[in-house]
Amino acid sequence: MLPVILASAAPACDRDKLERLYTAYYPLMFAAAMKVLHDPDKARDAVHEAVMNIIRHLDRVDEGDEFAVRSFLCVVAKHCAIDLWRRENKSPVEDIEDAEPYLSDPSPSPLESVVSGDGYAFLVQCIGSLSDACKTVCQLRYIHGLRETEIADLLGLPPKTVSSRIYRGKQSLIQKIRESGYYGERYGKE
Amino acid sequence: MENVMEKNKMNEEVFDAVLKSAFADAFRDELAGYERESAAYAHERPTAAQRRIERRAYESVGRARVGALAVLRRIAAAIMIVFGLAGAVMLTVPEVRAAILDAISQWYDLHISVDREKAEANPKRVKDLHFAAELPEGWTVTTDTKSKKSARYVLTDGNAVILLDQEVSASSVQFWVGTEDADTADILLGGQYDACLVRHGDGTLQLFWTNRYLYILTGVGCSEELLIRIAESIE
Repeated sequence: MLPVILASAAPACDRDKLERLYTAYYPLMFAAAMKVLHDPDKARDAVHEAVMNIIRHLDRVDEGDEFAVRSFLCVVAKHCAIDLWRRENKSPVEDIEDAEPYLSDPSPSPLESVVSGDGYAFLVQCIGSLSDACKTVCQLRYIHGLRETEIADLLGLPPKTVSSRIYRGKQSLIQKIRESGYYGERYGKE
Repeated sequence: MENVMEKNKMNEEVFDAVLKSAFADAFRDELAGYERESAAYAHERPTAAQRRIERRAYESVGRARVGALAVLRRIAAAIMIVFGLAGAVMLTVPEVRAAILDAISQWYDLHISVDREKAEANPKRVKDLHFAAELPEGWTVTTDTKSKKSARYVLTDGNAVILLDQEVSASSVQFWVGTEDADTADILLGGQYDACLVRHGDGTLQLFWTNRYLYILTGVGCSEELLIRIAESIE
């Protein structure tokens, strides 16, 4: 009787979720990894690493939002592929701690600049020019709303590094917007 | 200054919302590229070893996800079952059963239940609690202790002492009074309010209404008549 009662007290786990994700998205994650590694065996390893990380955050995968699922899986797979490539090529991770602090600027806010004219399109373009390291954490932060600690756990990074990358990514975008012609057009600056 | 800070904060929040949208839009093209290429990898599969490791990790995470609350729930369920079973087993022993029944019976013998189903609820604020309109000659209030929820007045004439205890919002329909070495009498206060007088063996008297506010008068060294007189003057 006791085992029956104890078993019924345990919440039901969605045991099929991983299988469903595998069936539907393995080739997509593989493609994201291949884009970086150009080697099927290494891409397989990178996807495996990504899956091992994602397993701990499966509750963050909202199967009802197709774009969110695809982007989440691809971002993590790509990050693992870059990580693998860096490890194998002994490429140092960029020193994000040296990011220059953003100084307050009395000129109009980046938001005011972005909402003017083609500012938004320019912002999207700027995001493409961010480093992969910054872009990955920012994508998880902004698209998927993950907390810094969650991103750190998912990507195997120290939380401080995640904070720095988010900060650096955002400040880099702000800087680009401030320096852009869109800003000048609207506010009569050179 | 405060407005500027608020505006900056709002701008920051809106900018974050814009970033969310921009990052999503920026990723759409990249994702479309992966989707096109994924067609070529439709038959790609992980190695058997990788799948095995992943399944094991998934199962262990699933177990961990049961979470602290569920674990506590299980522990509580297990404790309840153990106690329930132990209690049932103990009740089969005649001596244990007799001892429990004896304890219950003793408790009932030593207490009376005061049914206040028809009683009025006490005032909601301490300042609205009632007090004796007039005190007998020679009696004074020596202490007036009020907290957020209760008030206690100590009345004395130098020899006898009467405590008047009151609580705000007391609306319990039933309470128990210890009657060990005591006898009780139902009386009528002011010709309209039902009350119960408890005479304790040590001479202490207790008086409380059963269909009015839940006020308790405790008299030490005073007569029943005096206690009733003061109780009747409470307004």
